[in-house]
Amino acid sequence: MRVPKRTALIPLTAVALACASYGAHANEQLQQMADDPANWVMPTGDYANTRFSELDQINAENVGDLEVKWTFSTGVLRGHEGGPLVFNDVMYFNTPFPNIVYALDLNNDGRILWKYEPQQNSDVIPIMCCDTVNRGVAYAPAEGDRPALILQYQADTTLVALDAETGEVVWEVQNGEQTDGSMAESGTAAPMVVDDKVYVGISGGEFGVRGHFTAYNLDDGSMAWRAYSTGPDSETLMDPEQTTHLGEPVGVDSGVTTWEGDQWQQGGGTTWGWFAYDPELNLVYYGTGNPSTWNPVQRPGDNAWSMTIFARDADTGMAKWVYQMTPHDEWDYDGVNENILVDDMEIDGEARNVLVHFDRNGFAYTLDRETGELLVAEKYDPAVNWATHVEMDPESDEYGRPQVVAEYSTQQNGEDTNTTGICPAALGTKDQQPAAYSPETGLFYVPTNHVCMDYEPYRVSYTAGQPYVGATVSMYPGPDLDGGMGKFIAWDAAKGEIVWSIPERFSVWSGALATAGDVVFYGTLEGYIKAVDMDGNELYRFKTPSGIIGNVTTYEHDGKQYIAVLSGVGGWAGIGLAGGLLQAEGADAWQAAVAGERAPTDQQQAIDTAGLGAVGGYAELADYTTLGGQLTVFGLPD
Amino acid sequence: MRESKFPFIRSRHCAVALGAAVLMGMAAAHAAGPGAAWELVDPNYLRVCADPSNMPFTDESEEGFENKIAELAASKLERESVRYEWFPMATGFVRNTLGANRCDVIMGYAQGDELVQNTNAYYRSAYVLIYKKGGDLDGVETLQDPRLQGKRIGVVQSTPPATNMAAAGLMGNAKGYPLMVDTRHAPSVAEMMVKDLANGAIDAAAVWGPMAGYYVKNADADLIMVPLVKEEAGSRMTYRITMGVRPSDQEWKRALNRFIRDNQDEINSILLEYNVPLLDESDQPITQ
Repeated sequence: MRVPKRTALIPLTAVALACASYGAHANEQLQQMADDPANWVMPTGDYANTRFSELDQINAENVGDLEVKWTFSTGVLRGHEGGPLVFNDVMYFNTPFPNIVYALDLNNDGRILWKYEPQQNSDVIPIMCCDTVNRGVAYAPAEGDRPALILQYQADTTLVALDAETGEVVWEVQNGEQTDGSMAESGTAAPMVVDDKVYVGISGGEFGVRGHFTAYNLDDGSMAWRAYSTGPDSETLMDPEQTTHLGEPVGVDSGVTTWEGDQWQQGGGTTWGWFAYDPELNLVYYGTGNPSTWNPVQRPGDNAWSMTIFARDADTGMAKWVYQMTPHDEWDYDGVNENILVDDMEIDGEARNVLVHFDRNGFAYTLDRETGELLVAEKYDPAVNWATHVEMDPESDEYGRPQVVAEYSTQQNGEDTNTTGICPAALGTKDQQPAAYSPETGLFYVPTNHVCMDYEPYRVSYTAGQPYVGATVSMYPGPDLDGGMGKFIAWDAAKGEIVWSIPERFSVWSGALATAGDVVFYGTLEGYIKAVDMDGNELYRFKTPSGIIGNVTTYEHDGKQYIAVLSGVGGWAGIGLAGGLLQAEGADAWQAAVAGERAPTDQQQAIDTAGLGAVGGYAELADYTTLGGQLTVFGLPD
Repeated sequence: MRESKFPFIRSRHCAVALGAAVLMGMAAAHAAGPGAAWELVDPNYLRVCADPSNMPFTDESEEGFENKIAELAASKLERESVRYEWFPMATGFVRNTLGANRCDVIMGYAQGDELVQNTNAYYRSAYVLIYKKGGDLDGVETLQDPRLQGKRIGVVQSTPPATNMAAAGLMGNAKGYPLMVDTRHAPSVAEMMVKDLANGAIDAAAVWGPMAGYYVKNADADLIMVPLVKEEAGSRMTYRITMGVRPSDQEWKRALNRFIRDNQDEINSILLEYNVPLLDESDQPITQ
């Protein structure tokens, strides 16, 4: 429900923006606003997903003097992913479920200009109990009669367009197809605005969702196009001749023929990560998640187009090229992570316009983003062992495919065998937390996990009255490397090499930020925001009230640069790590695990031996932080 | 991640953690229960954690066989009546019901699932193959039978028969039914399968026997139901079903074990009334 602050003064600049168009098309206007480093107008910072800022007031010389300028409680616990948007003296951000949107007036001590709290069907909570995160709102400048919009994609898959000035609902549309409860779709991703459209994906792979990526018209919320991840060409929006996979036409109905029977209908391939856009090529990029619901043994085939990077025409949705990173997934290595677009990267002496993707499966891919040609595929954590390498010889039948090591194939080992020491664990060498790219150094700054898993496939599970052989996954820190479960690394995507690596006690689950001030920022699960120089030397740290899984953001207001970040541990990281719960059962369970670990009871020993002892590193998180939801804004001393 | 995925992954640490949380609660409450004074079990009512819409097991109108067994248990354990905590039996069920102390027993839970503490098993059953009587499948007893080749077989995602069907090359024509559903909104999967079988949308269905028996009994068509106890290889088809209690509630578990031991015949009668295929330890059918 909307809670307008009737007495609030709307900042003059906001009114000016809403009323007076720049005379430019909305698309160009958004691009112009993104080009002004004072603003942070997209969840990803820019269409290229670089998370780089030209601001240099805060720099390597003075970042050590950084201090907290103000804080704001979001009023919500659970995991806070994403980060704020800032422009025209207003800061916008949202919270995990119930997905409250705040507009704060930066000219008036962060006073709440408006607050929007949707009424959502509470039935969505049990079915999305694994994670109630939301990765932020998007902005669309005014166009014609339509006001400027703040767009939120809610847990119940409602896409709502709010008047950026007042918080009033302009339109809303239900994106998911929750028709009979067997679909159980949910929404967690941040939308992306391009021209007159807004793009959204879908979450909920564990309920047999068939992933799709949808464009809505900003003017009225009507659907422009929808492209499924699996199914016939008419629904995946693929052309058997024109759409290519590694340079070859995909052929007829590739989203059907790579499955047995009708399994593609509950095929997964959800689309809950970050989206990118190339204005020159007019292509949108995103990745798809794992093939869903069927045990891998039961779904023979490559299961296209799960685990795939898509490049689609922004206007029509037609796929130009695809690249499937992990055919026939056995490990839950979703391919949804962000795609970072870089121009003129020199590869083998040639300048290429590329897309760089750090996948959950532990390989960092560099592709030509116009053609989808695979240029580089290298491990960005040496511990990765489920595959030896990605075949790079175009003449090989295996071109572009990971070369799976039989020892770590849960399927090849069968139902009676424990598969131990698989690296990375299902949560990946890196999950959705986005990396940053600095055009000044040409390097990527990447938050990573260093966690491996044992997979015990013969446990009995029981759901809705049906027993079956499920699997238990135990996670623990990867080998060597200081015993930490995370690293923050600098990566050379042209060579496919780690340049430097900072070990972290826990997985690094926050989005990074690189700036022209020669500083890189990231957050940690203990709650630290850290600033390092371009060689990885730590310059500053401050411990915020809760673990950080949000993305670090910067902006300028009134001539001063600020750094902002949401704290609030939870999501998959907080729950998965602290509770040892891979199928994360929610923050309640996480808290129970935390309390249990401290409870002076007879079961203490049972816990130590049965579970947390084996994953002692995760349990330790409870010694450093607890739940909370807070925005913290940093600046230099006056 | 979450949205993740892998419906069949479950942490073995979960049950332990929840148990510890329960102990914490007890320390604060000092509540009395049957058996050990520190067990948080309601002494007046049989508090059952149940799915509100999961026939033939449980439903809100108390028509399911687990509802009937709960009534029997309440009377034998000298409780005033049964009280229910309703929650869909998907992800989060145990945590939000038994784990949150809102109820004290889950009437049906597979032995070996470590999310709960199991009582002794009170029945043993198997996945079954069902098909119309008098057709060309008469006499088929395993998924390896060549007569199944080319047939359209219904199967619930990720359940054991799907593994054997994949090995037998039957998945190409298979019809998949969802495992993870929000039962408050979705119809019974077994009911859908039996309807599809009756109207010819599928030729056979491989499904958990206790789910299927009730709908087979009430189907318009004359259906054969064969427990899959002769599979040559592949996934395990037979499971023991217990009641589920909190790991901390040892005395409560013993009380329920006594109830099961003393009333096994009556429990069997209820199960047979719902056409649950019961198997003894030698895989022989129990018929009375």
